[in-house]
Amino acid sequence: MEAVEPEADEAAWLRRARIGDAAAFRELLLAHQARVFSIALRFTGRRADAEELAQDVFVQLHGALGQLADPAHLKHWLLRTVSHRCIDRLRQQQRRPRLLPIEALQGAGEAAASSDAQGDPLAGMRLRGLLLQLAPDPRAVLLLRFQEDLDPSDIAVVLDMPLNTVKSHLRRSLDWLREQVAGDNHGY
Amino acid sequence: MDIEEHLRAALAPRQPRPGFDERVMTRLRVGKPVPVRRSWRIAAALAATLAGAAFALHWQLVQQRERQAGQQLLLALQITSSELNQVQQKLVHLDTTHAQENGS
Repeated sequence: MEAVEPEADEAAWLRRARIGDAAAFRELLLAHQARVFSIALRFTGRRADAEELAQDVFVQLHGALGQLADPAHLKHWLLRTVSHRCIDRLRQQQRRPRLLPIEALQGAGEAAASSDAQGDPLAGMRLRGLLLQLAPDPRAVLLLRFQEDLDPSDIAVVLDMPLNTVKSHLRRSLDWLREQVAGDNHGY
Repeated sequence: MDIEEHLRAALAPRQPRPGFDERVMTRLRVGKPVPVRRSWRIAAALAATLAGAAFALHWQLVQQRERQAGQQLLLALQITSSELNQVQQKLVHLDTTHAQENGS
């Protein structure tokens, strides 16, 4: 589970991390690792790739601590950085053919029960698989909307995207997902 | 359940493998990526390299043996041919001698 800490603690960790306190930086890392890793996992579909990408983000964060004013800014920076890195990587991968990774569809071990508790495990696998078929931009929009629960206006800021484009991606992606799921239900 | 609720459930945050924070901190100290599951990859790459090297060595030995066998066969044929020539020359010589004796 993600560590839930009061914002005051996070502000203190950020202040201490900025002056080189490694323990404080580790606390920030622990507080945000699930957020960053999950976005990378849903984007890449591979745990090893997601781990590497998430490491890259935190290493970059370490060098950017001086630019971050407060915890809200930190969260925004992390979401923005991981999303853009994921989109860039996905665009590079889409230039060459690749197989759909099975890890992307599975419940991936320890957290499977928590994610599928609210619904059908097969439906969860199917949705994760469908998500991997989306283009980079709509995939990022859906992840930020339904994993991070961001509003379309926040997503627009994080992704440097016009608000109408975000709304359009959301609407079209959801329509497409509904069609795919309905197709499954009406299949033989 | 609506598709949006399904999505929220399917996209619940996941934790990385244990020790992620330590790997990041190590990477900050060392300055290069710290892989989480690289050991089996290194072992697999090493095994593949060793297998390739063993196969190449074996192939080289087989080729060498074939070359040696070919050379030995050639030598044996040369010896046989030489001996046959000698026998043939003796037969011709004997034949000529007999003919001269009968003629005289």
